[in-house]
Amino acid sequence: MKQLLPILALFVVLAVPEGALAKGTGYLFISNEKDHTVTVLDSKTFEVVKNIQTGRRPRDMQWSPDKSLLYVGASADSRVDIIDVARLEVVDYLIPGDDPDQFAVTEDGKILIATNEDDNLATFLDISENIILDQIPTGVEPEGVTISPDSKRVYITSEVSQMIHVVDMESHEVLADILVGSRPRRAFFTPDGREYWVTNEISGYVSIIDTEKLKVIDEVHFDPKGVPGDVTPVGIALGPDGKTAYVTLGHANRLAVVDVRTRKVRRYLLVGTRAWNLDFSGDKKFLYVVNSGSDDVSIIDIEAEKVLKTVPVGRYPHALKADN
Amino acid sequence: MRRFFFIMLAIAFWPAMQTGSEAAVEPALLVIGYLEGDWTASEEWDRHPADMGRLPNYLPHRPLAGAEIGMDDAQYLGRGMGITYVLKRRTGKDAEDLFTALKTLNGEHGAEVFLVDAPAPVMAELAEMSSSLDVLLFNVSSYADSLRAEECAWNMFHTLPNNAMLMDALAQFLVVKKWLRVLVLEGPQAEDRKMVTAFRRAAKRFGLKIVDVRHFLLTQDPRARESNRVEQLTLGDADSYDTVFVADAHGEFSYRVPYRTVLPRPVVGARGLTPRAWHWSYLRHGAPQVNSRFERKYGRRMDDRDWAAWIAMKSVSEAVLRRGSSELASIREHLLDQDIKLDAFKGGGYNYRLWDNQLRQPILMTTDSWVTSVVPHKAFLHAENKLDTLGFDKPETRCSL
Repeated sequence: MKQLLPILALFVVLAVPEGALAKGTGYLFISNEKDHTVTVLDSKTFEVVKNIQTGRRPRDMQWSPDKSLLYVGASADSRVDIIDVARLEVVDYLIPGDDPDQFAVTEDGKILIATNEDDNLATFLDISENIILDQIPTGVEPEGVTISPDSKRVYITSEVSQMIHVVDMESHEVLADILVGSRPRRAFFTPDGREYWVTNEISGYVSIIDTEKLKVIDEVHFDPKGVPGDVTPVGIALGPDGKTAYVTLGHANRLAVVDVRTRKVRRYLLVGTRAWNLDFSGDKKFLYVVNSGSDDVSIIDIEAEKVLKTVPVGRYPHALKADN
Repeated sequence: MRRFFFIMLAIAFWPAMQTGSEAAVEPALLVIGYLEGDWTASEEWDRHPADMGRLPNYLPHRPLAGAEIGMDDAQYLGRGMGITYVLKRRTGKDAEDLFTALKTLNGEHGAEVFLVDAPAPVMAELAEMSSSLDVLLFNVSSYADSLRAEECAWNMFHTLPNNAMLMDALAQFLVVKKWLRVLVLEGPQAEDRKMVTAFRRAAKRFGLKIVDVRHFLLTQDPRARESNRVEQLTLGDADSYDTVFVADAHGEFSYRVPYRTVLPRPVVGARGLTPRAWHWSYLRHGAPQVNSRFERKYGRRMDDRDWAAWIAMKSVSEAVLRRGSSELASIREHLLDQDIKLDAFKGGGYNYRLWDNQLRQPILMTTDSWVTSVVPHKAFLHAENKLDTLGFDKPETRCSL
């Protein structure tokens, strides 16, 4: 595999100027909480290309705008490691406050916004200077960080306080606290920015917020057949077609496929144990679901809505980022 | 579609954002009472002198810390409504004392919700005495089955699981493991006997066989070695028992049982594998966050009763938040709402049983350092709610509210 790397590096160097057309490395990056590594998988063969050593308890991951860098939150070491995607190595790190949980990077790649779960804060960090610009108080146990498509607002979920804090990106002022279900986790905005969808893990549904009125306007409920007890939605992502939402139901070991327009569940797919985070392939054909309770990743054909296979990764996998 | 709740907060209300120029809105104070009884006649299960020695500030520790950390969380929930929570603690040696404190807190501070940390008889008496007042009590420290049965009260809620729930959980675990023949070692305390009563009931419900009940004594008397030596107490043929259940509410004897049994068998109950409401080692469902918040603040581990006090505070603050009102009637209504999903950090959303005001919840099967299993086990089904396989289910309740 070593011989391959220089060639790949060359490929990336050549590919970057192509901008949006860049096909990437063809790799999948998976953070493994208990191994303190990021597993790099070849997205065609699903062979392990490399296990990159990171800080302790790597969880959330986000790209730099050109995808040349991958930011990896190593929460137990209170830092965000920076992986150079061409070299597949940690080359530097950022310190966005204590125990960064989830985070987001602005579209221009300049600011990283992280939640500090134990301190009930959200940290705004200047990436190039590695300087904390601001820290704002949130509710108890802040979690998901999602930036609106127009980059004007950032929405932060607060698990214990059961609220969404709507924060102005410039002033860092909290514009609204919106009460949702119990334990709000992850979210996405519709491409037009009008709706914000957020999972409520304990209440077991998705709240949809009208971003103009700053008000909950609807809920998506789940009722997979043959699943007794609680359904716990955690991961959520808008599909490449912009019309389909995918929600992971941790306890139920299911992935819900939801029609965004009708807000109805279209299908449930059986995935691994405690399915959490998810991402899509660059060619929009595949969906990858990380199963943190079975140490593997489910590969799903988006069009066929079928699970193709499941591949093992490290221990307690958390997030996946596709670069193919 | 369900009812939606919406709170929008003016920037000025956000404490950290205040510049001082805005006219501050006077926050309404919501006083929660904390009544602490005398535990000299302790019914505490699993207390041990070595444990207590390591706890400088709490000898023996009380669930007040759990209530305080619940208070911290509640402040965030109250903020959007302009409510500040205040916890007022009063102590008393008996129910009479506590009732006087309750009346004072009610009269002078308008406190209507009380967390009570007192032994079962005091708790029962206090609930009876206060039944004519407009108040609501949370039992956060007694496992007694009687409080959920003949001594139950409409104004008393229970966040701590009772012995029947714990023993049912243990029985489910043993049945799944097929460790069906149980040797019971029973202590001399009244609480030990109650534990055995609860275990007998659970054994019957889930199909365990109690092969023998032997009585231990906490002495060194050589003439009583049949009762004070584990080796004597656990004599038996190779296939006579699969597991040893120790009923030892005070915990002092049970420490010496594991590895001293004559047959190589696991020990359960007060020691070995113990059913609990909460454990510091639990790694899932957000438990590490609340455990670490607690440990950083109090320098000790959060236990069952801390958790019970914490979740009682959370029950109240969520009721206020979700109903948008701090009226007692509205809090009560919320607590009895069978659709609520209280996030108890044990994986699901829970609510209170209508027939005895007991909080439904899973039980953690714990060793000293690990949560081995979470019960109810999936093999045990229930027509309405799987959690009702633990403890007093509706058809068998002896409580009439």
